[in-house]
Amino acid sequence: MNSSKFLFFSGKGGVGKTSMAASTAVQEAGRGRKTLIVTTDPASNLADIFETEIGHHLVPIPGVPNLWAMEIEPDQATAEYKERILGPMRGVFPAEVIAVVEEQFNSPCTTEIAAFDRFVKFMDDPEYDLVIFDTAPTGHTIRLLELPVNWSEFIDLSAKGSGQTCLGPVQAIQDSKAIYDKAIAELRDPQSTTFVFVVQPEAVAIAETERSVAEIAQLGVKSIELIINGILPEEVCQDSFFRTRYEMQQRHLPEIETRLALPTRRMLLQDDEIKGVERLRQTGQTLFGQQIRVPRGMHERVSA
Amino acid sequence: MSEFLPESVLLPSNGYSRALFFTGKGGVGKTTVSCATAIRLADCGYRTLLVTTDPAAHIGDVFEQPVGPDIQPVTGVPKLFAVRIDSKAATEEYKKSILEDARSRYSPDMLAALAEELESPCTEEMAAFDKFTQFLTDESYQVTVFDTAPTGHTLRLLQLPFDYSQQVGLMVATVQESVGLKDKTKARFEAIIAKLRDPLRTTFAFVVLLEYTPIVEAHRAKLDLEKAGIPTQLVIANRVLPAERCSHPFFKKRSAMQKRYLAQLSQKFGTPVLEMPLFDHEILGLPKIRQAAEVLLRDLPCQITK
Repeated sequence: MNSSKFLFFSGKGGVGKTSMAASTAVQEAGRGRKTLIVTTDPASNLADIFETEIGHHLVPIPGVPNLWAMEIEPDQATAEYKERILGPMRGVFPAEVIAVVEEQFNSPCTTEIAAFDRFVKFMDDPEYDLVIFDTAPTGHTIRLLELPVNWSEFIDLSAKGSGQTCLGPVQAIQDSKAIYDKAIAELRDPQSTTFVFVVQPEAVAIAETERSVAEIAQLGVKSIELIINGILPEEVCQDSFFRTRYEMQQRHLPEIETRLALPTRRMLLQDDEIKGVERLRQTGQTLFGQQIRVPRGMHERVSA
Repeated sequence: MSEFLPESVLLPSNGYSRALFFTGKGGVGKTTVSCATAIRLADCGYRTLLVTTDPAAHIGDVFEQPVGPDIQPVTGVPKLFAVRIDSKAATEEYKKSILEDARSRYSPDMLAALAEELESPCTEEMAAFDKFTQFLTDESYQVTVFDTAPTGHTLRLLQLPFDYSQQVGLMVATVQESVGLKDKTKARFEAIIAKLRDPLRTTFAFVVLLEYTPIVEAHRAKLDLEKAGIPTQLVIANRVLPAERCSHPFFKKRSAMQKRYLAQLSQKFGTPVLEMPLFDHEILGLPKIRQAAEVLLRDLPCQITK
C-alpha cells in the first residue's frame, strides 16, 4: 500500500476503519507525502479523531504538516447531485414521476454514487501525492458506473415503475462518463490504488469480508490488503471470561489468513478510542512498523 | 421518563397480536436478540412466530436445528414456530419477474443496466418486505418476531403514487391484471402500513453496540423511519462488558467508555434501553439462548410455563 496514490478503506461500521485510515494518513504525511484524507461516511468521526473541526471543505490538520482532511457531507453532496438531475426534469415529467425519482435519491446506493461523484474529483486532482478515502465504494456502485448505457432512456424505464432502484441519479453519469471511466481504470491499477479491508476476528465478520473481497477482486481491483483489528492483548486477559474470548480470537486469526489470503497487518484492541495526533502517530507506527504477513505464493504481487 | 415496563412494547396488548422488528447494522447481534426474545415469549406462553432472513447455516447453528421456508414448530420450545425467508431466492425471483416484463420492450444494453440496477441492496430489502407482509398479516400468532426490518426509505417508496404491484414486483408478471385486483393489493398494503405505524401492534427496536459509529448509524436509521411515520420504541445495547469481570485497568477503561455511551442512549433515541451483556461464549443452542434471554428480559413479568 505504501506506493499507491489512492487508498480505500473498507469494512463494517464499528470495525475501526476511520482510526486505521487516519493513522495511515498521519504516517504517510510524516514521510513527507502530501496527503488528503476524505470521508463520505455519514456516521464519520474523523473530526472527533483529529480533535479539530473539519466539515464539507478542505482543512489542514494542525500538528501534522502535509495533511489535509475533508468530510463530504452526504446530504449536501446528494442535494447538489439531486438538483443537477431534477432541475431539467421538472416540468417535463409528470409530478408523480418526479416524486418517485426524489425518493430514489434517498436510497443508500444513490448517496454512495453522489459521494463517488465527489471523490472522483479528488482522484483527478494532481495536488496530492496520496488520497485516502475512509469509505470505499461498493461493487454495485462501481459496476453501475461502468455501464455503457443511454441513461436518459433509463429514466423513462424507471418512471414506468421498476421503482426501488437508484436509476434517477445515474442519468447524470452520462455527462461525467469520461471522468468515471478514468477513475475506474485507476481503481484497477495496482500502482495507483489499494483497497484495505478492516476486519475483526469474529466468525460472522470473516464470512462477510470474504464476500466483499471476492466482489472487489472480481471487478478487477488487483491490490487488496487486510487489517485485522481489535485483537485482544494476551496480557490483559487474565480473567477467565476474557481468556475464553482471547482463545476464540486466536483460533480465528490463522483462519482469516488462510481464507482471505491477503497481505495482512494486525492491530491490538486499545483500552480506549484512538484520538488525537499523538495516538494516531503511535498507531501508524504500530501498523507500519510490523512485518506485513504475506500468504504463500503472493510475494511477487506485493511491493516492498 | 416514568418507569419503563418492557411488557408495554414486547407483549401483545388490547387483544391485538404484536409484531416485533429488530433492526440495526450487520454484526450487532440482531439474530441473537431476536431468537432470545422469541424463545422467552414462547416460554411465557405466547404463541410466537420467529421470521428470520438469516442465511440457513447461521440460523441453523443458533437453533441447532434447521429452519426452513415453511412455518415449523421449534423442537424444545412448545409455543415457538419459525420460518426462514430465503432472501437470496426471493430476490432472484423478484429480479427475474421484473426483467421478464422488461425484456419485450427494451434494448439489450438497457436490460443489462436494469439488471445491474437490480443488484442494489434495496432490491433485496424490497423482495424480503414482500415476503414479510404475509407473516405480518397472519393473526394466528400472538407475537411475530422479525430479525430484520424494512428501512424508512423502503417504506416511503412503497407509499409513492405508483401502484404497489409494480413497486414490489408482487405481480409484475401479471401487471395486466384487472383494476379490481390492483385495488385489493393497494388496500392490503395500506393495512400493512397502518399496522406498522400503530405502536400497540408493532414495535421497532434497534440493536446497537456501545461505540460511536454503530450508534450514529442507528440514529440516522431511526430518523429515516420517522419520516415514514414509524416510531422507534426500544433500543437494545448489545455486548455490554460485564463490570465484575473488568478488574484489569484495560477493561475497566473500556467498560467506562461503554457506560458513557449507554448513558446517552435513552435520550438520544427517546426510548427505553435494555442491556444484553457480552458473554464469554458464542450464543449457540437453546440452553445458551434461554440463558441470554433471562438476562435481557429479566424485568418482563411473565410466568415461565414448563
